[in-house]
Amino acid sequence: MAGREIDLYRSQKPVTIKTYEHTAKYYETDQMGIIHHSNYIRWMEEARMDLMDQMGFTYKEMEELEVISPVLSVTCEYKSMVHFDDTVVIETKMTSYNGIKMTLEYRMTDKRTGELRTLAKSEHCFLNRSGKPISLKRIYPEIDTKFFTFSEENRS
Amino acid sequence: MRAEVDQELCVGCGLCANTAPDVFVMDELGKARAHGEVTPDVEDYARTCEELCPFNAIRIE
Repeated sequence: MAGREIDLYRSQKPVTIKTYEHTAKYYETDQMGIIHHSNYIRWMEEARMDLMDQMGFTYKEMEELEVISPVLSVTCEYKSMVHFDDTVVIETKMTSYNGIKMTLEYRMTDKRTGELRTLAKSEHCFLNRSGKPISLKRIYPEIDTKFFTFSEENRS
Repeated sequence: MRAEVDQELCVGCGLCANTAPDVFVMDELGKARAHGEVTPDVEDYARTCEELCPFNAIRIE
């Protein structure tokens, strides 16, 4: 599986970020015999969680710090159909992060043919347990630095 | 440094007044208004509101 090498904050060596794979389930299909469009949004979440795992800071760990990261917006362009048992490769990139808001982009391709399936994007903010927006930069500077060094925008 | 709320864009969701009560307040019409200077100790809260206002009604200058 191909990966992208990224120098992360306080990491001894570059972290290789692997793509995420999802094999389409029968229960994800719709009456047209293809994967229902809502499932791609779920796959984005799976890929996002996997990306955080690879960064060495899981979503669960973030929640244990009483920080949640709700979705502000989602867009998804459906380029070609996915069918039952197809495996989709999802490349996830954090394209921007400023301590308050982050944007992730997803490119889904068919594992066997490499054909583009979808291009998607999600925006997130960070809230405390009371549901108030917070700045990671102010409250958790170490996490902020990790996210900051990871985002494409800040590394380019 | 000052904060401004565009009254045409504000829908009165209260996110800013809830997040940064030292900078924003809801007025009698149910819309947010900025009050006073944005001091260094509350600047980060004000910037958070500017970034997350769902209708981009807030400017910090």
